[in-house]
Amino acid sequence: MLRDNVRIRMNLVQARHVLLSCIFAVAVQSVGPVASVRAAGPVQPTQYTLGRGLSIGNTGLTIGGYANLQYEDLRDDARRFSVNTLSSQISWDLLSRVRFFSEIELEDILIAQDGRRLRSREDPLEIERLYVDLFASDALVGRVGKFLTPVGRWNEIHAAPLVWTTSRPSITSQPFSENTTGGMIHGTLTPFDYDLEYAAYAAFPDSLDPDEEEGALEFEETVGFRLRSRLGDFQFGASYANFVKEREFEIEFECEEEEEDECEEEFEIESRENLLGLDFFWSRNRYELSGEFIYSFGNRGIDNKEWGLFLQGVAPLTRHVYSIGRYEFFDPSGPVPGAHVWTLGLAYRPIHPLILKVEYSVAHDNFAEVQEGFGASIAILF
Amino acid sequence: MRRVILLCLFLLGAFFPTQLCATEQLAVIVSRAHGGESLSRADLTRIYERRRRFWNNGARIVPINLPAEHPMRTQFSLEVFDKPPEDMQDYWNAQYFQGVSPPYVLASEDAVLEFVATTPGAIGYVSAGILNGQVQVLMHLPIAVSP
Repeated sequence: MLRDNVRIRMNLVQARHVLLSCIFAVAVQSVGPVASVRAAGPVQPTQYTLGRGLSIGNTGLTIGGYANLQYEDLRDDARRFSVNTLSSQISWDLLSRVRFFSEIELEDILIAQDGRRLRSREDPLEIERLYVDLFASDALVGRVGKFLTPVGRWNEIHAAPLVWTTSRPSITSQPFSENTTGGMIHGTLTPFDYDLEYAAYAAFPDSLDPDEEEGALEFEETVGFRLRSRLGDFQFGASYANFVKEREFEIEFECEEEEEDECEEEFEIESRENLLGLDFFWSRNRYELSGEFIYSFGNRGIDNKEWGLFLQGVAPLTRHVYSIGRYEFFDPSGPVPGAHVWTLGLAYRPIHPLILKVEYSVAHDNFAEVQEGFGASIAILF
Repeated sequence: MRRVILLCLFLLGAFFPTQLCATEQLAVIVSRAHGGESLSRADLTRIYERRRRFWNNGARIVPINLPAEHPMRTQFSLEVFDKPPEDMQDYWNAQYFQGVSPPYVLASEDAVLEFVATTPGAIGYVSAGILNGQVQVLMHLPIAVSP
């Protein structure tokens, strides 16, 4: 049964890779005849700018990315240094109404950990995003491919150089899938001259994350929408998602050695979940205040509610140094009580694409095993 | 008598600094072929934040900026975003992560004037004082010039 499951899963993963390859091929094909057509802007030299990537003349092609080096000394875990992320990003405005975008990253390509030899992650290559945007108008844009799930603000700008802390609040990743492979319509409406950005999306049937591991959470049949607006310096958003959450786990039995195959059994719990999210962001004179709230409930099991929030403030200390404070609460589904996490940090930003961070987190009632301890990182947009 | 006139001028300057100082204006310009589409201040912000890509007739908008250190760029940024160009860096970092590049930059006001005049869909800004008849002015923005 396990072998069948693995075979089916491999076929689905292959099917998805084929689909993503097709999207890429369509993008490349469509650029073929127009590659010599200059974009409508002024003649631009091919130039590289740190933090803005390499722009290839007037082709509309920009190549860049970011990198993140990370050191963690977490409670109940060995000290660990890693080349955490090496991400390449390609953006291609093919015609005035088509944009191709990809983000492919290597994760944990080098890990040095106390008591273990130098290693890298088994399967470090990840397709983080790969999609094509088709612009009918500013109010209606179609997207097909793999994209960041539009739940909250953090998940959509989660790159290390763009966030103030090495750690990530649990509610910005654990209750939902960070990526969705499927279709989306999005755009900006301007009723009464106010901005209202929207996104409505649905995952392709049976789409599976090629990076998933045994026992990992799976999110399938996702549909959802997100609304975001702004009033002056204040931005606020609301998200809704509905998906099937699958959790696989194995139970081991005591048994005779010759019956080893019978000693493990795989179980799967499937639940349809509704997720509601609220978020806000305020920024003025280099001060920032932001927060997110998530409430998720499923149709299976007891204690099937999951909720949490975080509130984060950033204040400049000097021209390049910032202090960061964050409170987080996360109550995962199940009988364990929620964890309270306080984080204090400093960030040094000598130039805009570069950020150095240090922080310390303390958790109370941490039965949910939220990360706590010391973290430091250096991240750069290139 | 001379002292009295100087005193009057000083008092006038103290009470009505804008009238005395803001003799210059920024003109937001498009090509003469643009048509009659008007623009609100909020639209201008959306265009220069690259959140609005198309004119009402469906043509692509090509916004043009002056270099970040250009005094007119600073004035424009303060007027449209309520912050200087350097404070927009966080915004553009986040946009870069979404595959959106900032507006094209041309080195001088003359270059902006010439490019906008000859490119349908382009929009730029220059000092009102250097305008010629080759472009259409969509709106004027005040400039707070130091005396």
